[in-house]
Amino acid sequence: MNTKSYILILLSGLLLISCGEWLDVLPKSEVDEKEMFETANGYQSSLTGIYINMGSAELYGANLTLTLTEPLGQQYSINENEPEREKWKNFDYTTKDAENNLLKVWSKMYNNIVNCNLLISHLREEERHLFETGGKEILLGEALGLRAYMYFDLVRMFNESRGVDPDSKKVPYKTDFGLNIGTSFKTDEILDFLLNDLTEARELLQNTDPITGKSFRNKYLNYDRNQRMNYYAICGLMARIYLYRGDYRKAYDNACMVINSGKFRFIEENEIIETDLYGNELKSDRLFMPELLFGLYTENIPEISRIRYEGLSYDFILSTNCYTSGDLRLNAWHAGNQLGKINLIKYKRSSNTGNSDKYTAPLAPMLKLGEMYLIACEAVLNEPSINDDARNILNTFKQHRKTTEIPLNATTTEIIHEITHEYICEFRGEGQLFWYYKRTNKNAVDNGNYLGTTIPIDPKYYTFPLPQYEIDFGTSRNN
Amino acid sequence: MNKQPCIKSARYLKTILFSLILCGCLLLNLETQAQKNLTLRFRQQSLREVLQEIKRQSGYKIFYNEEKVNTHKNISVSISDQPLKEALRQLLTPLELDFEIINNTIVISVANDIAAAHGKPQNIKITGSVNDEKGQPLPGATIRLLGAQSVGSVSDEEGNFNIRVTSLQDELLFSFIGYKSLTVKLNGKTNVQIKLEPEILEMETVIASGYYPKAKNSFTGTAVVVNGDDLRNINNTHFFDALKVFDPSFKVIDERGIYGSDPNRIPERIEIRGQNSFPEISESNLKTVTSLPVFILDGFEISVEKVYDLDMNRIASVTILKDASAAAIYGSRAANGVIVIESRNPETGKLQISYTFNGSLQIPDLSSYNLMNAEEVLEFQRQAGVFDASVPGEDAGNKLNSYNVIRKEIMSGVNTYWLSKPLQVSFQHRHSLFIEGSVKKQNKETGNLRYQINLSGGGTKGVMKGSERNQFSAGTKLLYQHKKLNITNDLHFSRVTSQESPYGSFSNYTQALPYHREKDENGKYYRTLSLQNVAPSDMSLGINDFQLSPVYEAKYLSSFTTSENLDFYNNLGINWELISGLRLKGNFKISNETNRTDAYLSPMSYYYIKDNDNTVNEPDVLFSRGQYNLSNSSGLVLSGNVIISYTLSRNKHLFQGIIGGELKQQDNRSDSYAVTGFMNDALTHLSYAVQFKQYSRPAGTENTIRSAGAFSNLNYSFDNRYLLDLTGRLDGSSLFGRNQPTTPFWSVGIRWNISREKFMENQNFIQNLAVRASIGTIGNQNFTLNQAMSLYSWLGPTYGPFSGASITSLGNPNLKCQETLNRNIGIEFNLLKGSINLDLNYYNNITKGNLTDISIAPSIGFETYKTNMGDLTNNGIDFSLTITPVRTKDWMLTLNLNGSHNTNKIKRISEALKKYNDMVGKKAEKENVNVFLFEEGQSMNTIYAVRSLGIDPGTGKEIFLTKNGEQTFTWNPDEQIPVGCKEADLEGYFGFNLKYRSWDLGSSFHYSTGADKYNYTLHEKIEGVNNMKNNDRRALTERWKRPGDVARYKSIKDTSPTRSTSRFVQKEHMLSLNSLRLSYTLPTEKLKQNFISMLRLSATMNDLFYISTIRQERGLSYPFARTIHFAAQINF
Repeated sequence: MNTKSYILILLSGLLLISCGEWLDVLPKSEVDEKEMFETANGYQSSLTGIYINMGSAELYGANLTLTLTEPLGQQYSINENEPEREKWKNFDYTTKDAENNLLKVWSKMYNNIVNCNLLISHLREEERHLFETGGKEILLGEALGLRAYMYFDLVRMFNESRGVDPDSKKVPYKTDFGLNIGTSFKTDEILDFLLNDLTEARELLQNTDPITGKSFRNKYLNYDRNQRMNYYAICGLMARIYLYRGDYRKAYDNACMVINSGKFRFIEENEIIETDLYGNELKSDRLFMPELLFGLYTENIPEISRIRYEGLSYDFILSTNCYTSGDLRLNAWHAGNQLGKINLIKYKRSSNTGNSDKYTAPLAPMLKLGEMYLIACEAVLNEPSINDDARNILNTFKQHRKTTEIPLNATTTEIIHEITHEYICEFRGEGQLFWYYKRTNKNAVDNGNYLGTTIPIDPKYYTFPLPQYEIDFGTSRNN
Repeated sequence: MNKQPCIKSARYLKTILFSLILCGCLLLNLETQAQKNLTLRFRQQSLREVLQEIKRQSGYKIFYNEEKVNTHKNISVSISDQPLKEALRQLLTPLELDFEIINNTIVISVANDIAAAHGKPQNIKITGSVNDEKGQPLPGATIRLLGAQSVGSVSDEEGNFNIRVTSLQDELLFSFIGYKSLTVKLNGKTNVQIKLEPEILEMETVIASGYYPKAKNSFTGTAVVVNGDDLRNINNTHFFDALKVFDPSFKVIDERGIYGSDPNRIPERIEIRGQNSFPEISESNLKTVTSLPVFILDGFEISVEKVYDLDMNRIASVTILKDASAAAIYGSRAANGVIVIESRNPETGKLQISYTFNGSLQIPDLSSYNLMNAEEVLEFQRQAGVFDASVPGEDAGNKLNSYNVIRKEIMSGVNTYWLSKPLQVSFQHRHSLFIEGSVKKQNKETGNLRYQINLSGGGTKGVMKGSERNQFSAGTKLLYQHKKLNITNDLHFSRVTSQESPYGSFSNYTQALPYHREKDENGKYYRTLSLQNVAPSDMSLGINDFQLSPVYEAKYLSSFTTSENLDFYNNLGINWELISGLRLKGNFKISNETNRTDAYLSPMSYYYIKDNDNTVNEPDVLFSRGQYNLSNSSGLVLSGNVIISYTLSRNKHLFQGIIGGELKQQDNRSDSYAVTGFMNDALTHLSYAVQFKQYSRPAGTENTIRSAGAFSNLNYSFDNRYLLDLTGRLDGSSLFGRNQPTTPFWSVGIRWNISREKFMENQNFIQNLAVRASIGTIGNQNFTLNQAMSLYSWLGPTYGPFSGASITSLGNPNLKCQETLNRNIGIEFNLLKGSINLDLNYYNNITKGNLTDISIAPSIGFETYKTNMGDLTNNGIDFSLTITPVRTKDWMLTLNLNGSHNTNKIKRISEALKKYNDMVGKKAEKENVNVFLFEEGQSMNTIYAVRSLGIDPGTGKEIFLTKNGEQTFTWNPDEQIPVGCKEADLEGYFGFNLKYRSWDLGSSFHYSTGADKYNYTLHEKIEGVNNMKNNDRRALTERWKRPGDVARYKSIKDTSPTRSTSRFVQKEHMLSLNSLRLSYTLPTEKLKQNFISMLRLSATMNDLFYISTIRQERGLSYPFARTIHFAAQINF
């Protein structure tokens, strides 16, 4: 009996030991949520993941810069072999292709927002000293900023324009990670949440962001701040949102903070393309790096651009009529090809990878200095109490673009017309033009030739339909 | 006890003598002399000489076993005038020898052996083994010492036992349920080999549950045991095809017969007693339904692929465990059933070589196809209006040109039979070699060793050219037995390579139009099939449709898909009897498996170059042509279990208990790449690629999964009449949700062997009658790591120099195994000495907390979420009946019939599934599909469609009936109602087996009756057809053509998609000849002169015919085949 009990005890002991911790294994190619936030490195990787997701083809790597929104701005011709894309350009959002793409954007946006939520909540609860002083603030500021950036674009896409229906509340707002569906708030309510977050982020970054002068030992925190949601990017985004919200004073203030910061300047002509004696390109900066408040690193955008906008058979620029002959943007961003069509070469790089060092990093422009000037200008026009001159602001911008300035006696209507003109010229391949049309609630827009011919848009087309999936699985539980 | 009765002594002596002669002992025959006192004085003389002297003085015969008694040993002895006995005692005791005097003979032996004869208070160990009539060990047989109620023992897995007795004259009672009890008198033997005769012939003996074997007649669960030979008789190359014949509730599901006889198609869906989990759903699509039982080979789980590729000659037995009492010991893995395979152990005896050759011939079976020939296609197209003006008033001249071109082609004899193009009659061969034997015990210090080397190799070529699967395996198995310790070691290596047919899917051939030529006038195959190939170049054709020639790329390009699997394992088992009745058993397995799949798509494929010219030579395009996909995966599994078993037998009570634990760790790794940019069709190696495929990166995963289980089984039986069986298991796994780390499972089973009751004793009609019942839970854990945990996964792209991670899933920490409550009642009986045998079971299984993927609003951040939701039940019966009407010395005829009926019912579904129903309804409106819906109260196999009143003779349109009973021409998804159920009223197999001397003829038929089927051929190949493809002949002959036609199918001109309609739901009654076999074993006497000890030849024909009341195409992407197997087994 002794032997028996001995073995029994041994065996059950073995099992008890095994059942507890032994079963708690984690995969090597994946990391458990709790494990992730044990180190500073984990926090940083999580934030990096959010940037990478933003740069995916579903979001700013293709859809939200080039393929989804750009055709809606009517500046491109579409290959006739793509009937669904042709329909999309004509605001038919019901094709299978369209439904798929919208679902992808919606799902990926929220997936990435949930990533932000998780990071933010962990950062807020983090009490250990995992970071250098200021490090945690930077991560939190960036995460808050990125989440606001994405929510704002969801609002622009899926809620009605404020001018059409200020009570539109199709975009669920969710700040947690879990099985709950976000609450539906009206556009302005969501914008207020975003602005609150951005205000907090601005405070967090004000004294810590290396772009404002501070330096960190940590390479990650110091690394190229123009590719991060930095302090000025927050200001720029606030300017954009305040303008959308109709708070012109604050829009102006934030735009000016960027303009007057001295951190950004307009590009000079000789910087764009450097050539050797034989005219071969040595170096090019078609993205106008010194102007970028925030450029999102993404290898997708040069690829998509190469296939769709620089290739032989896809989306061509209808015309370059909007540019005057000396405009820097004309030659830097456009090129004719042998078929007599106009390619958009803004994101162009050699297909021979050996030459890629000639180009600046592959970036998607998320916020630019030019937009700040246009915001400031529009704000001054709308808020007479601001002590500034709209013509001046616009002309400063135009001077640097080497394009015709507006006369000093230009009327407000003419200035507004010029702002529209500049939105057409300035945001080629960045997906912003359509949102300008939406914000200003235009009922007819330029047809791409800039000869005064317009095509009408019913305001309802400014709002994308919610994915069927969201309607089926979201609304029933939502109030 | 000192004095032995005379008769007994004589018998004892005779036995001793007999056994000594047998053992090759030496008998010393000496003269007899009168008995007197002895005087012995020797100094350093051999014992032999001393004994000679004793013989001389006493006149007694002396004998002893020369092997055991060392008579050459020199001794010194001084004995004066002592009686014989005393002298012998003084002489032999110091030598540790014992003696006995029987009549005039002195028997000398090693001390213990003969001690019994002295009648001292003794504790003699008797060892031996219990086998059945075929020499197979009988584990669990009870051995009792007659006259001493408290002494008993039970045989182990090898049939070996030991028991302590008081005298070598004792009697032992051997009993085993289902076998005639046997009383054996020891007669001085300490080792007895017992063969028990079955009470009734052909009764399955032992249930191998994987952890411990059980006698079938003490088993409270439901299991089907199939002997390896019987399995090979049905089909000696396809395990699953063979096994399904033996258990009607075991079903390999290939609903539409898509995969036919593809040798590389491994079953994904095997159901035992119905489907008990919901399918996974994502974005309103059903993912492939995978449900597989767990396969256990020699105690450890193996994958379905491994079973598929297993050399069937290695199989000793297969056991299907079907209910909770049988399977609860497998806990969380058991819900889909457990299939236990035992591999063949080495044979005992001298070196034996057995070689088996399996050859088979496969012939494509196209009988289910009823396609149009060239002329019919043209006529169909004409009537369907292909050549008419598409808008009224249009000049149809160009279309008529096309018509005329086709007409001319047909007149000149073009009628290409595309179906035969990719097919071949294939020959397959497989060789299997066993070298085995045993090394006997030499003395006390060494044990027995049995060894086996098995080698097997062979290739399977499919009926589609180029598709093949080749297996090679080699292994050794050693079995060492010493005293109370048994050690088994099984080392095995196998390699499987497979290749897909370059001819692609068979459906391309069924759709190719027969009026297209295959080759041009130069004998070169056309790349595309179109009228342009043959029409005058200046003729304008109205029909510009073309089809890709399905043959061209297979003939000219070097695209391929191959895969290779290497598997190695070592399985060590230790079985140790600590004290009588208490055993410790341990099994440890290490296995390593690697897989590699290569797929190459030629740069010259139509996928890259749409037409014949090569003008697109831009580097971008050039560098992205051709593709090579490589994926590797490997898995290292370490697992082990330890089991303690205890057996106690008192009077009529028998108690058996086991307790055990099991640990398993699985390390998985995988990676894959896609590269592109091949310059030339012939450069097929990966290294010729220019770059990674656009937007692709190397992908891979690495993870470790651990699981632990503790289990116990208690079995009590009273007089072999009443049995109670309790099982419990606690399972934990790293896959489970954090909040549900372990899940318990249990079962209770009872059994009453009625035929062992007193009142059944005096009759000859019923030999065995037993009822049993069981209840218990078993589980299913078909979920992956990130479904219970929220995991960050590292992203492929970087952000500048930094890598990032993103959360991949919303884990459900409460996720647990889905549980099935199984209830089973069974009755088994045997009438007329085994002439009639019936086993009948009724079961009721309730699955709760089904693991379901539910769809969630994407604004939650994810699109699906795994949860426990939804209940369903499976009710049914299965039975198996065997009748042996003829049994004589030369003849034996056996008839068998089995069948099952299962009813599946959805009790509760999740909101998500309800949503899914709405969504697929909408989908069915957009796309031409027949969808799966889930409704509470219905079966998972219910067919949903809109009721149809047939075709309106006036318009040729279909008239639908709405739920409200209104007639309409419009199809509306909301009007779909259950119109049938795919479950058969009865399905199973029947057959006969006829033995005449060495001949054996057998057959098995598969039948199914009363199942509803949705006939997709009618839906897709007669209506809703693509006019520019070939279709079923009935599309021409049976569709509505002009007003007044009473037709089954809608207007021939109607090209609108056909929606799911009750018109196509048909009742199926089906019969197929699954297997017909003949074998001949060469009688031993004829072989005597040769060194061959056994020769058996057999031929088996599989799938000879298939008759069904439904005419539907089978083998859509790979045709079915009729197979003729030949096998020859030679033993040397």
